[in-house]
Amino acid sequence: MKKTLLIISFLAASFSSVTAATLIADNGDSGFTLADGATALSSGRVRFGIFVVSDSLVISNASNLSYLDTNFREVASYSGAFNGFALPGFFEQNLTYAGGSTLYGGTQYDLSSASTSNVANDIAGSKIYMWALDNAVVANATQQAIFFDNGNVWTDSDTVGVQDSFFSTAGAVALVGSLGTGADIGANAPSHRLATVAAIPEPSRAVLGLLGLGALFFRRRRA
Amino acid sequence: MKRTSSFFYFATLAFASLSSVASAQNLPVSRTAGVIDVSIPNNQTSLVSIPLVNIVASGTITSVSGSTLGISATLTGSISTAALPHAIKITSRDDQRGAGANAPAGSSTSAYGQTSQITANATGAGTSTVTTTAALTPNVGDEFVIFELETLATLFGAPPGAGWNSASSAGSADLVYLDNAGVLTAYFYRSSGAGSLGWKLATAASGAAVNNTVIPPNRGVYVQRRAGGSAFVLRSTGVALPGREQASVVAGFSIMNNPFTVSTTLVASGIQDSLSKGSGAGSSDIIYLENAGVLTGYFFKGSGAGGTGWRLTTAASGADQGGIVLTPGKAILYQERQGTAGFALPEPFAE
Repeated sequence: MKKTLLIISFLAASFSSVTAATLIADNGDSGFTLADGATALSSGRVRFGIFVVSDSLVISNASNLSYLDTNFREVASYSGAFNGFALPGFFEQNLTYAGGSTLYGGTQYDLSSASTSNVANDIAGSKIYMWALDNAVVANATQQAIFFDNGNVWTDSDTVGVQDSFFSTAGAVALVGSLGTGADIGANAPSHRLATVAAIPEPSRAVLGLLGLGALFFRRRRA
Repeated sequence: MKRTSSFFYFATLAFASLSSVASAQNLPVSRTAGVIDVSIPNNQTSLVSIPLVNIVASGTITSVSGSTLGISATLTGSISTAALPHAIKITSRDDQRGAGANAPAGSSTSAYGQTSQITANATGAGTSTVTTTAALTPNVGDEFVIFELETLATLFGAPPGAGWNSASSAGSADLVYLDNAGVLTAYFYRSSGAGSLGWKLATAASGAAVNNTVIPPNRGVYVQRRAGGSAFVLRSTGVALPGREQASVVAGFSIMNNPFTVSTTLVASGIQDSLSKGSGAGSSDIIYLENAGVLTGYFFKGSGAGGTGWRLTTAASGADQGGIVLTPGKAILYQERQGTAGFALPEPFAE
């Protein structure tokens, strides 16, 4: 009995560990423009986290915001004006988040307590994904970009002395949207472009459409 | 302490030799002068110390008034400018009374090994004084040296030289960490993008350049280099600081400079005398040493089963680690965790 209590106590201590950290992120190398490649993104939302599905599924479901949202584990985000560096289209954010055993949508930040080992199924050590939207509400967004940082990962909570994570669009890879294909909006370099979210039919309209097609087919057979 | 042209290198050496001779006139032996190249490889973390400095004045303390010290040397200009900061180090204790159970009657203060940045100074023969950031506690007659401090710009260059990864963002640039109140603060060199360029706080890429950020006395730097670029070499020239390093620390992390030019071991270093020593890593202060980019933690086991001595933080009951070498050019990442905050690094083979 005593041993059981000790184990429970140890587990409680382990899983209650939360480490505060900062995500330091900006797009000062290029800035964001809308899909036209010329208009600076003046406001919206940038979400930072990981996707729990493959990159190919993210790309193939780019028009399904609900699917993307369901499979995204947001660690930190910013909503509001994009006016970092006193220029429209830019953001510069230091976002505080909790590391350690904190859960994000059911995914634990760091499963390797007291170790910097990179284990599967947690956030620490995973690529940092940035999901930029032209609206603070995901469902209302009409344009978006999804990049991951090819040089930085979410920092392990047990890294000695340093807990901060870094995201840079300068070393990013684009899954949705494009890198360096827009106009120069102040960075002395081409901007990164968001992509238009393709419209997908609402379920009720899709059902009606199918019924219509069925009726047409039935009528042609009878004729 | 930065690498530029060969002309600069030889000029520095010549100047260092001259100042060394001049300042050594009050010493029974010449100071240790030389050149040490400190390599900072890309794609890894390095703990970097500044082993050699440029000593510009030395002598004895003539008066103590709070944080203002009268000195026997004659200063001729400001030594507290933002671009060229200086520090004073107390290198002896003239009056030994009052220290320890066997000391003779009387009292004196001990500031031996204490160092502080100079914030103001007065000039002239017999009237020179320095005012320091922290109030040191020397006795009249204690010896001192005044030396140049490094800044981000003087240590790494502004812009940094070949091999360094400068970028528009902290997310893709090499990072230099300094400790500040127990927390490591990152800086990077911003070389492109919207806004101004220069050394920036990682958390303020759009902020003002902070090229003159001082590497504080007693402190080294923690460098996190990215995959690009190539090995970066800091060439440290000048003379070795005399006396022990007696540093102020607070709870958390401090990047302690190793100012000595000879290797020593953990057990011979005497560091353990200023640490809190428990039966395990959880109840002890910890030092981290870097080797090939890997930080390894050690603590001094002061009690409990398995004897006493230096141990790996991951193996309290493991083998003694007293033979681990403290390498010149490598700083020590110190984590103050327990007991009274303090850190001292005695001068190897001299104390």
